Amino acid sequence: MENPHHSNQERFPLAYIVRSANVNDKVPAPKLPKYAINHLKKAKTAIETLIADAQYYWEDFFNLLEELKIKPVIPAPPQIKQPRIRLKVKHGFIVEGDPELVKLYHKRMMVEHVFKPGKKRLNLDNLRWRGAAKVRMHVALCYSVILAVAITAHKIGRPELAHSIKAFQ
Amino acid sequence: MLSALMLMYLLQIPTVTMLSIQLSRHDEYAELCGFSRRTPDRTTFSKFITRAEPKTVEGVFKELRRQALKMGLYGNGKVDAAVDSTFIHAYSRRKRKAGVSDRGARVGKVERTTYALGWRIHTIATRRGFH
Repeated sequence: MENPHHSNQERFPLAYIVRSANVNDKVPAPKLPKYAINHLKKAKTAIETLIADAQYYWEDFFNLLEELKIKPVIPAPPQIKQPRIRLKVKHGFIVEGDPELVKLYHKRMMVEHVFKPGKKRLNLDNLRWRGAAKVRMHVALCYSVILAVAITAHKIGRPELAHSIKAFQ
Repeated sequence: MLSALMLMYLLQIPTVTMLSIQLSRHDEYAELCGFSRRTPDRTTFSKFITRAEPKTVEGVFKELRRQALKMGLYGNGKVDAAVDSTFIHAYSRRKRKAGVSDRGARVGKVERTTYALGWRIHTIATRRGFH
């Protein structure tokens, strides 16, 4: 059962891209930080660190993040002998490396916490439409509901319910 | 019409047919979505979804995101962001004689050893703390 009071951190989807399932994560990934920076700029906010899992570890992405002045927190895959940052995820999700980076890497769950209510409470994984355009609409509606719930929770003076979709169902 | 579709997701109503039934049965839902007399038929929803461009629906997300940014829900100053993707199953089956009905969907990894026909949502999320 979802506990509406479990959260003391707010995390919301900022931008998304929908692609066919066979498209590698490396293809849409560079666009996402750029979109995010553009949107956050309007609110005078900037991204300090970008956390992602090992599949986002590749040279060009690191160079792009350096260009955008974002600190990457991306663990190296096991086959990389000399990683760019001291961070590795071993078998059983054991994270090793620089203690500061390890602490930051654990914040990666914020994006998983966006997917979870979507799939559990908003039928994100129960697609009833076909075609890329309609799938984009489906995701937009799901994420809109997540944001609408958060905005409503704040407007009624109950910020602790910002992540509790169940409270509004 | 868009608010009715948002209500469909919030109440976990699986199809537009069910949404149409719920709207006709519950006056409060109809009123909430701005329908005063007659509620739309399921075919009206289907036509709307087919005719509406993704930009129209994404406009709702953009507007809500603008409001959330204004309220500081994405954080202020310097924030942490995380990128990841998730798999959603297509409304279509593999290995049919007639081929797949969702032609844009492709077979991809669901988990480590499971593959299915579907889409992948690549998302960037930020967070702020409040105490």
